[in-house]
Amino acid sequence: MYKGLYYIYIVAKNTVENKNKLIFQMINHTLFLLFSLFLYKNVYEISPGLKEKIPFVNAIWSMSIYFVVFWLALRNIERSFRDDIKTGNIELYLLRPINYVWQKVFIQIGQGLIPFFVSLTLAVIINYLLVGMPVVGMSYFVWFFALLVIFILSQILMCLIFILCGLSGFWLQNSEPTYFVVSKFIMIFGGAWVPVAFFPKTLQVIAEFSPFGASMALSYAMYPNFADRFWILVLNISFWILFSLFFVHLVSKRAIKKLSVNG
Amino acid sequence: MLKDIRYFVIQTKFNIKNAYALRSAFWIGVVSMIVNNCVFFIIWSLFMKSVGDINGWTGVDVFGMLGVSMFIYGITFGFFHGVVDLPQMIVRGSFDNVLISPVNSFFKLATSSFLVTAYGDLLLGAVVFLSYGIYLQFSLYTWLLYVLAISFGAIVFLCIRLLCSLISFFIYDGDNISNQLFEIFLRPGLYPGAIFPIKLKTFFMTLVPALLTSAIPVDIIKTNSLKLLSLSLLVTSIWILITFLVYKIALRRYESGNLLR
Repeated sequence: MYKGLYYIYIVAKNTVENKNKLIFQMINHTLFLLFSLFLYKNVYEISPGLKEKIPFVNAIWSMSIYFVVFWLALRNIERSFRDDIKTGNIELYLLRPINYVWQKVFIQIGQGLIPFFVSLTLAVIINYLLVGMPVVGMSYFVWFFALLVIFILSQILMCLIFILCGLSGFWLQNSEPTYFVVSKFIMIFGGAWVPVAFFPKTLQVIAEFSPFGASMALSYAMYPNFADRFWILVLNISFWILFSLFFVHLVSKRAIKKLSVNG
Repeated sequence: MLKDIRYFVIQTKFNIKNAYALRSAFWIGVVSMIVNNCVFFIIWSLFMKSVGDINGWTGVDVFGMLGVSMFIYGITFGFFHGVVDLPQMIVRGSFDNVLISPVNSFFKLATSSFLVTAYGDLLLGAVVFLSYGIYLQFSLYTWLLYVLAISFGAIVFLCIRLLCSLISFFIYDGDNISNQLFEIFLRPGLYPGAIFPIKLKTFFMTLVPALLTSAIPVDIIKTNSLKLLSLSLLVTSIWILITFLVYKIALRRYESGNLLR
């Protein structure tokens, strides 16, 4: 545990060394938040009926939070696996005293941690000042802890999904196509560009209960019915975590057997 | 100039042949990008179904816009991908190879690398924007407007991508910054043009000309507006000029990495 935290700390420290990168990332983030806010304000003015599907404030918070999680960039675990397999660097990591998969997870968390926290702060400030707090049907104090639970669980699931994508590279030589498909499903069912509440009812259910939607459940936590859905979301994410964990265990064992190091 | 263009065509052919040597990897790359892009069609068709027609734009128009956008993206990254690698070349000092070449440095740079997946964008984009024209039964005049508008969009897209890469001549280790800047430009172009308020649309047509590469070609043929096409031409010319000047200034700032091979 201590080793893992220390690993994350070192990587996070290294990441912040390049301040220009972080500054430009956050400029990008802020501009995108403002852009989507003004754009959807116009959409809600053109189609007032959308308020019945999801209030404007909740739609904005939902999309913002998707992009905040985006900066944590756990999806890059797959690319990290892919690069190691292609370049043969995987042997360098295998020689270290920490499990290969864990190293990749720690590196990714370390790299995304600071941009995540800065983007979160920016999103909260901008959204609070420009549209106010979302309607969530519970006290904000309870909501905060409920968000934390959903965030931790959904990000564990996200990690597992992209570890599986990365591991597919041991068989496919290039895991990029798998990544493309999975990341785009997460994009649709996570409500990246269009909130899931805009979808037809059946598709909303599919989105919410699929592993892709579950890994981005944080954006559902911005919906007005979150209080009623909290336990369903927790159970759904937990189910997919167990399911993915089983597969990661199975696939990683076979992948290591398949590995041939050139030396 | 003719010699440079001939070099560009031959080098592009060579790049495609080279990538096609690994036939299955080539097609997996192309098909996966097509599948990847289909997501945008799904997302915006769901959006249009939910919101209904906006400012005269239907779901078909949004599809046409996405087709244009993908086609332009495919052209830029399929034929000029070296521009994207420029920041890494500067950091590694391998830009020397481009400068000492007897052909035009831009063409040499543009063809120095290749992106297979861009051909997925190019193919899908071409199929969609052509289908859009056929579906709406364009006249010859409309086709001409459409092709011209798309050409202007492609030129602007390339200029902006190059300008973002040129940042690396002025900022140390500018690879990430270049990508971030390009993302700022890219994103607005993937939203349906109809949902932009007028002021925002003007902004994204001129100062950050993202809509020139997606929604404006559709707007031009929807309104048959020569005025809008002329404005596109003017904005394109200005961006070409800016890019040309910045490219010249940037090249002068380059310091050799002494990594000649």
